[in-house]
Amino acid sequence: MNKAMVTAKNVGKVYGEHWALKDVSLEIMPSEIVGFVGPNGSGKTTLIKILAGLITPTEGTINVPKEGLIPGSAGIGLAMESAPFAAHLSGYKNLELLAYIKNVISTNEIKQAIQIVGLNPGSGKKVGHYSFGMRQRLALAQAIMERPRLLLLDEPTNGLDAQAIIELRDTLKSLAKENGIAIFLASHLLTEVENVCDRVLMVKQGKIKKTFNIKSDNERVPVIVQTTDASDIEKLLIWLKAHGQTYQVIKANEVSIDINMPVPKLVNSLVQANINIEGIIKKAPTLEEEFISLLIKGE
Amino acid sequence: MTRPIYLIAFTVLILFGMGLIYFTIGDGVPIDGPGKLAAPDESGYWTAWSALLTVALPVFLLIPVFIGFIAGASLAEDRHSGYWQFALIRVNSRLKWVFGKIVGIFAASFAGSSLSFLLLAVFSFLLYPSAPLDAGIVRFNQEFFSTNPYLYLGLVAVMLGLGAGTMAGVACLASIWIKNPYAVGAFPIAFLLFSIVPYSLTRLQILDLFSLLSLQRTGLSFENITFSWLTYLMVCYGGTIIFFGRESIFNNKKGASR
Repeated sequence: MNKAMVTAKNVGKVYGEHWALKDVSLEIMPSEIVGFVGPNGSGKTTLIKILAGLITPTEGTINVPKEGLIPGSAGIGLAMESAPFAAHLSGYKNLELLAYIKNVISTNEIKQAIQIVGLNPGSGKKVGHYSFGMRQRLALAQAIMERPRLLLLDEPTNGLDAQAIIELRDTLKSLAKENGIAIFLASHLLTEVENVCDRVLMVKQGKIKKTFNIKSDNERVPVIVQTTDASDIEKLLIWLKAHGQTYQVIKANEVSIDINMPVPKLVNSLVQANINIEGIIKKAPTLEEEFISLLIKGE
Repeated sequence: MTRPIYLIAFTVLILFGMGLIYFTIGDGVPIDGPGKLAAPDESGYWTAWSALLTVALPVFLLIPVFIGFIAGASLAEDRHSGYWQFALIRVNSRLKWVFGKIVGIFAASFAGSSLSFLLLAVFSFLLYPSAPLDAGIVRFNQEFFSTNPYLYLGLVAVMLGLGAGTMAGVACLASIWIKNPYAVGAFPIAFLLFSIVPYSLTRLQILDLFSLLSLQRTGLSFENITFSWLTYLMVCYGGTIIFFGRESIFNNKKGASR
């Protein structure tokens, strides 16, 4: 089993008398993309800053990678929502200045990072003339250019258009999969978080209220199977009994099944049993539904 | 990071110094002999030395303060914009980052101020004859000036560099609490102006910043100017490192490990 890339135990941060974070513990594995969602002021940015080493936690312990994939490089890449760059320099020049601190990558690698995020490394355009989305992309290029082992992203999709969001999603997934980079991202866009993350931490008032496992939670949820006619329902019920599945007949041609197998396997099995299926609906609660019930309604 | 507008303003300041040297003396025509124009002490005549060390004095006062504004405020500017976070994450230590930053700020202010003075010196020497020397044009270490004039100039450049470094240090220290670069940049000016109060109360030479910067007090020497600036430098940069490097001083109730 892989060793966790990030370990945080009982981390807390107090400002004056207000605890921005309290008793937060988490582990992030290599190649894992973990989301962090919560209302404004719930401590998302504070946790990212603590993981990045920008602020010191009041209590708790943190272990983060000290070195990136390139020897001598920083272990953490950070892209903050504000994307602060020197306005009078070009995007490439900004990154070159930052790369100079560690001096472990070549100019080609800087250009490559800029290309990955969809910007033109040869452009002499000053960052001051960049759109917000372009600055966001540049911040991401800055974060990934030295191949960190942990990528911390605060609202990475803010200001991006639909196409850019899709490209960013693919980029993050491939970075995690191909390079083993652990990604921790805070975002308000729940659909995006759900699409890109393996696991989502729901936080409210500085405390993690629930961990939502996108894959495993979705595998255990009930599915509704609609058959072509009533005769197929009979065959389906026989099959379900034979395979020890729990079910509930909803309509004449509709059954809700608490399956204990992946949906594709269920479909295959039903087809092989000559049961004509009209449709299958997975009744997984969306991240948004979870978010509303847990963090807004407080259930 | 220095904005281009600051560099333009600094260039204007140096040009102002050159203008003082050029236009105050006469029509810019090099003089060949004594008595052509009014001399600083009525008995001598204008040389490159007197032009530099008397006429250009206001610029000596302005250069360190201006450099303090630019270089010192860069810490506040980085903090204000958030750019420092990108740098800090690569250094992985607040202490290392702030140390590197203030070394850069000090080096830039020292070099900027010293080189500006030397540039004005070169300008003056290109414009006017360099001899004979009149020790009366300098206020302290006159004997040393008579015997080693060029080394004297070099030491004046170093003193101005230390003065500029101090002014930048004042801005750095202010950056701990204030993130607005313009507000922080005003601190060296305020520091210079308000130094009059403690100096007039105590008469301590170390508090007489105007004299330390303009090199116009006879009681001064290279030794006590150096001592004064080094004291200020240690307080300002030391304070910046301690307060900024240890963010936990303000925010931590208990210890935490990383």
